Amino acid sequence: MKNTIKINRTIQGLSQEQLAKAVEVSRQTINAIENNKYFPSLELGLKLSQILKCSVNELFSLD
Amino acid sequence: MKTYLLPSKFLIPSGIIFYASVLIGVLLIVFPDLALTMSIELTVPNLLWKDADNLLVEKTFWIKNNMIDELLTLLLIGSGLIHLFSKEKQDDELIMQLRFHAMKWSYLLNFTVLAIGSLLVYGLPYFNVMLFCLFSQLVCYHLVFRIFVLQHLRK
Repeated sequence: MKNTIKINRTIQGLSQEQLAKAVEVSRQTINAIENNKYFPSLELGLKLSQILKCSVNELFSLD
Repeated sequence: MKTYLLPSKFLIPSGIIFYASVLIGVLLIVFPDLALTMSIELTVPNLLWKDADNLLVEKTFWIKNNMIDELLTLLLIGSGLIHLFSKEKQDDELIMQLRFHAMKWSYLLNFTVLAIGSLLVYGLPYFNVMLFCLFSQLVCYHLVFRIFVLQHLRK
């Protein structure tokens, strides 16, 4: 699974720390998600899509 | 995500008590004479007194026993479980996954040691293997989990 969180985060002008705060996880967790080291839960995926103002399908896709 | 964990304020005190009791436990195993210098003797019920062998304990319901090792066991289990179920300072779903991975590895390590011990240790020394395996899962879990968390926080 790949994701476009880093691109969408940059478009929204958010740092990893700010995004982490908004979705109530640690900065390290956002870093792990961006680097495909960790696949978030559905709940966190939906929160990310809400903050990054795009659909879950745009954020995550299968390889 | 809703988790049923204790607040993070319990993490450090329970950790200190847990690792201190592990250290004292190891010292008592390495230096058994040390236990003789500390004594809290109480009369306690022995539920399986009919199976007692009269060598280690008397064959009576009420027995006199030095409670040091029992207290240490309770301290180790209590503090170990509180430490296990306490939130990290920054707890999220990735930390929950690390908990699961640490649990998985501790199971594997514990039962690998037990399997090797069962094949290679016989007689009374096997009691030491069982004693080790009684607590090794809890200790392994904490050590593996701490390594995982430190690796995660370094990134």
